[in-house]
Amino acid sequence: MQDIPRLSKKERLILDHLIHQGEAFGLELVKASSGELKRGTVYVTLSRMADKGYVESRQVKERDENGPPKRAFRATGHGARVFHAWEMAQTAWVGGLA
Amino acid sequence: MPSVGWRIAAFGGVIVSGLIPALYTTTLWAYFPYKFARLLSSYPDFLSVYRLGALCLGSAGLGGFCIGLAFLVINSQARSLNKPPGNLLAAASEFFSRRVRTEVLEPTLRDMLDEHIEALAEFHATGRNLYLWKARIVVARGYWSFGTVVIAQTPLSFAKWILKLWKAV
Repeated sequence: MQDIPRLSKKERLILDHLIHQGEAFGLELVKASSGELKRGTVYVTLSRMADKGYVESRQVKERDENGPPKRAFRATGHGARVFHAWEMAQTAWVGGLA
Repeated sequence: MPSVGWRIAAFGGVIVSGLIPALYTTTLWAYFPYKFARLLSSYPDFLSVYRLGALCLGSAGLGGFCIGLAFLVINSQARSLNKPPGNLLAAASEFFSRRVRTEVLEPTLRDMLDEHIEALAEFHATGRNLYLWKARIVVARGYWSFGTVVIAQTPLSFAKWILKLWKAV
């Protein structure tokens, strides 16, 4: 039997938002998390999640915009499967305790 | 708008020429009122003239310091309105790999710029200084976030570099 990949609290929060709300920018994730995610660490977490294949990103730059481009993130199929597996495991564990 | 070199020179000049005499004068005024009373009521001698000179110099320094500080504050206001922040951070991000730069550092900078512009737009719309301070806080928070990102990312980048080197060997 293959183990479920591990998900940290921040990763669960990000995947939850990306799966249910769709594509989002880092700052939107920070604002939606009501203090759980910080501006300084959200992109590091997202980068690590991209390494694991949970999320993917693309640059968003409009034609007449100055400054560095924005980056939008969305959950991959693998990320969504891991999240749902984690949710099911959590539900089963909580059900087992009750 | 003065260049960075001129700003540093002006700030250094203010500190050296103003702050030290200003502190000296403040100390004299605060701790030696009795001696000044004696100085004014007695015949001037060499030491008294020296002290009077020090007092004048210190007062001039205090004035210069206040003017310099006001100049820096006004100038910083003008800068916050006219020039986008983060140039220094953008230059610092060049030290990292392309991937870290594009996926981690640039979005952090971009968020800071967006929030800064948003706060300045509110300032222009309402004319309330509160939003100007908000813009400054956003910049300070942006620098803090950037530092956090660098601290969080550097060990990971270093570990990956070591692993790459190990595999190559």
